[in-house]
Amino acid sequence: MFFVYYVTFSLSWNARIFAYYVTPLVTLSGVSGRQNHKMGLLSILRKLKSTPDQEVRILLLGLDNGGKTTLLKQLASEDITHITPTQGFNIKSVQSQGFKLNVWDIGGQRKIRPYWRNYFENTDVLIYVIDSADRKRFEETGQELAELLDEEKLSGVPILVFANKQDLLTAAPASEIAEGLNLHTIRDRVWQIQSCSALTGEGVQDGMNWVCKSVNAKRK
Amino acid sequence: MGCFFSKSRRKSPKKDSALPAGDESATGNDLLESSNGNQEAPKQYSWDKREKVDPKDFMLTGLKNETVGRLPGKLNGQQFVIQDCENCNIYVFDHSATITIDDCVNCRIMLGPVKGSVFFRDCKDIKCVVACQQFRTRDCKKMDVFLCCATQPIIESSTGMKFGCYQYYYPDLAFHFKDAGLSIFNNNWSNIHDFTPVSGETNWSLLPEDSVVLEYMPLPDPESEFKSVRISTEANRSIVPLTKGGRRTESDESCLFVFFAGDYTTANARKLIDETTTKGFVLIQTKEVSMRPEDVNRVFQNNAESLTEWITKGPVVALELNGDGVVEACRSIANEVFNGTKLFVSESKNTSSRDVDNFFNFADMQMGL
Repeated sequence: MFFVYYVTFSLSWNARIFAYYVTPLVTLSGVSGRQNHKMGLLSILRKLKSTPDQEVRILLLGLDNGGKTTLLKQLASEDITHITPTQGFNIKSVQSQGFKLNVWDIGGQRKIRPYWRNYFENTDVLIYVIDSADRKRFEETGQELAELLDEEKLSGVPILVFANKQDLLTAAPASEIAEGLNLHTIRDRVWQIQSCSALTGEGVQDGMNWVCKSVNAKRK
Repeated sequence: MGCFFSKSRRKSPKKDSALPAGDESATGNDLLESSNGNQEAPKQYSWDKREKVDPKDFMLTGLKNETVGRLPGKLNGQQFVIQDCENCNIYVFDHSATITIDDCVNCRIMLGPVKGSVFFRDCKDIKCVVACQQFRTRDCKKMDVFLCCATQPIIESSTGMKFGCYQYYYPDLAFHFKDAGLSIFNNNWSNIHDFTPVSGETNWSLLPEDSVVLEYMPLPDPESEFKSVRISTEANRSIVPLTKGGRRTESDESCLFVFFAGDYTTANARKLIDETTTKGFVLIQTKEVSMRPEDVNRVFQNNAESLTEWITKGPVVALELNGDGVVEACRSIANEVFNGTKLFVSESKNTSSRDVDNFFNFADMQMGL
């Protein structure tokens, strides 16, 4: 018998309102009822060969309107048809057999990007989400990514770039985005670019498989 | 569009290593693959296989002094992009996935229901009618927005923003709301979150309650392609019920009225709104939300088994009505007009405030995450 629970936090800086919601405790014995959600947080946790009592910390960053929260909700197998712009941050935690996985989704408005650095410490992998269909902001997102890659506290941290919103018409393919971002010049860490649609889930599992591999490789 | 971004600040390597061979959709620097050797066939995703369309068919760029847009059926849920337009009347009479509006000046814009986000950037002097899941602005100035938004609207670095309740009708609009997955009962139009508040000033406010939509968003030129669309901006024809939202009310008495899922839920809600507004009562807010058995007791303070069973049939539609004597009026309407319908009405004006708080706090929590 082991316990799995989801803890969700939302914090708004401006209003300084702190609310956290604990969704019902789910008790599992033997086979997990969520086994068919292959990309789910629990299955990610299981793939991580962490030693007991270790926490794996994933940080989700990117410009506002990129699809970070949709991605987070998709990973948690929750409803993605009704999502509010993130004012502070969202966090999902999954714990199983002494292993713990935290995924932090931080609001990306220009005004609150300076707060991103509050979340860098102890990050095991960075997931950077890009709206592939918002060509007007490619330069801006490239700039933010470049700054992140220069951050001392994120040095060496593996990075997965999700070229999101591939379901949209004007979406640029991952190869075009990789080229424009000059990803191939990254020398100091492992990286991957993965096209996906957080809305439909397509491509998400492939990206998360790489995330698991990169975390395990780093801990060897 | 040209080559975009990348102001890489990293030292450039002496020589770029070759891109790892493989599919377009996933590339990396391969440092993870040990001497594996196996090269998997490039993975194909649905976007690799779909029919290519001309992005220009889904964009309006650089127009001036024109009446433009899309007729019903022409977008059919696709993305739409509007940019660099000046002094235009833009009508998008269809549902879409997401819409961005950039660098537009002095335009009047009507956007049919949007499944995802509507994002205005660097726009000025805009009057618009918008229905969407998310409403966002950045670096905008002087906008009047008649809004139906499923979540809390946000603005950033924007000033002179004014908001009113969505008020519009055209024949296919109700279908477009359904196609976009938007409920006409979930409209947070009056509580805006400002990411860049300025102390001593407000960047946003509410439009005057008696605003005439036509004075902001005119009907299309009768010579244009849109002449066939039979539009109405009358309050009583609006697909989205007019709600008072955050505006001040005259009475302290409110009543909670909840219709449980059934075949005529929407029609019943509209009928209730008609009956009550005719009598001079005010509709404050509405919500369409799913409930679980464990929510029933907390929200309705009532263990009635039937309620617990009714909520399993589908989402409920709840309305808050306001005015002196509204509870009594609602109870008698429930009896006379809705006899036999599965519903909940507040019992008395002593308990009705609590009913309203319990329900709408629950709904906000449910939908806020």
